Amino acid sequence: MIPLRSYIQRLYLVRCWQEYKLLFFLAIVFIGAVLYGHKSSCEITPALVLGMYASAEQTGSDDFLVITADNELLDLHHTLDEPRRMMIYSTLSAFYQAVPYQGAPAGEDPKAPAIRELVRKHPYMKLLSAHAVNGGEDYGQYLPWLLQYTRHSVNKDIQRLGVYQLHVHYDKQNLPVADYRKKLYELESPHTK
Amino acid sequence: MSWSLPILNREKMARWTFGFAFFIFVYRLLTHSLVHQMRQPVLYETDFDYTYWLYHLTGIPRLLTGNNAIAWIFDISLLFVTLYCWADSGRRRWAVLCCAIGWTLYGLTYNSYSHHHNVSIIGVMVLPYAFLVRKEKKFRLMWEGVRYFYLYIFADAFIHKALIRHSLFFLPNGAEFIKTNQALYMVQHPDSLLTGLYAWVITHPIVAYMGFVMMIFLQGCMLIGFLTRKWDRWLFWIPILFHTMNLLFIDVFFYELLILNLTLLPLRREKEASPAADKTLNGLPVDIADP
Repeated sequence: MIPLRSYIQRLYLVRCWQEYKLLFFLAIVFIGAVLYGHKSSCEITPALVLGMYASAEQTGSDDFLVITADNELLDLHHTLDEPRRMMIYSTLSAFYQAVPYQGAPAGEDPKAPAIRELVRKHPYMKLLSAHAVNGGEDYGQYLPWLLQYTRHSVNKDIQRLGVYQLHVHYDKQNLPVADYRKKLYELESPHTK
Repeated sequence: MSWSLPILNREKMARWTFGFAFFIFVYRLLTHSLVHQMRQPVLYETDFDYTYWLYHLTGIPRLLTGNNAIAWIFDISLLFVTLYCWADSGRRRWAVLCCAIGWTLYGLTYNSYSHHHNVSIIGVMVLPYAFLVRKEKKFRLMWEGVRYFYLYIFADAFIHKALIRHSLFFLPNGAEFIKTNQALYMVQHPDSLLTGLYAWVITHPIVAYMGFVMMIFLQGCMLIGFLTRKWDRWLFWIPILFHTMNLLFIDVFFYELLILNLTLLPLRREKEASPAADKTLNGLPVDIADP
């Protein structure tokens, strides 16, 4: 049986306090940031809050954004392609959520209202949150960038890029069934100039 | 069959760490996600993360991505310092500092402009800082701290699923995550073998749920690491299995995070390192004392 005193002395934080004070304070800050993140849902990287894949709900249908390059499906299905896929589809999804498809030249970051509310409650957050969201005018430059990035990342001289919304429902067996495809945007190569 | 893991001293740990970072660089190059390959992106995502808010407040991400020449210089410098640290076993603190800051900036930049705060890049953003510490005793404490950080990543995910949001007890969940993550692949590749596999698992929700429970169990097993280091030889394999299952069924790529698996390898004390020493855990010339 290990005496309590000996056990306490072997604890990580105790050893840090005795031998490496800077690391002790870093560890305390990290623990504080983790606790704050869990309480407020505001992370302070690298003190992550790892709540992904923790939802408990069933979906009956989904909408996916798909891209065609010169009328051919841009197929980046392989998981190894994740970084490139994120640059294309994740940004496209964010853009689509921010700018409703009505030919709107500018949009608003979906989290902007929540940040305004946060700043109203805690005015000292104003400076820190000053660049937390994209400027409205940035959304107008997104689609030309998407065409340019896609052309370079797949190394193809794409002339026409189509963005579609694919609606999928799940049947009685829970298997996905594609319903319809709706055109959202179409871009032609002059945008790359 | 031997389950012994290599025992590395600080020098070899540095080699493996910066070697792994080099492979991450190559992977990012091949998947068109280095800073110069981003083609001057315009939209970013800071989420509700104060680190990202602060980062964008400094204007550094715009500086790095907004000018093609600067983006090239950054990427080439990152490659250079990573290779230098590998070749030099992380002995030069200035190089280690540049490498660590470089990967931190890269991770924050990529996660911002890809609109997805990807956890897998966090390993290479954090681990190089450990080699800034010179004294052996302090280095060991730092290395141990990163090991706890790695354990925390799995433990927190387990706690969320089991104790906070209780998704562990939601029976449709296994099939649900496969379904929503693979739906697009399934409708676009209806005849592939993988689609057949996913369809079979989805239509057998008990099998899918058992798989989901097993994954959470694996995450929960990492909690053992907070109590003892004697099980690290077993815990070492858990992230590899976990990320492989994720890659196969959930369509997420987490192998870059395996750089932190190095912290689960036994670390030889400098004074005990000798060519004659046993290179496996069987000989126990290594610090395996419990915290």
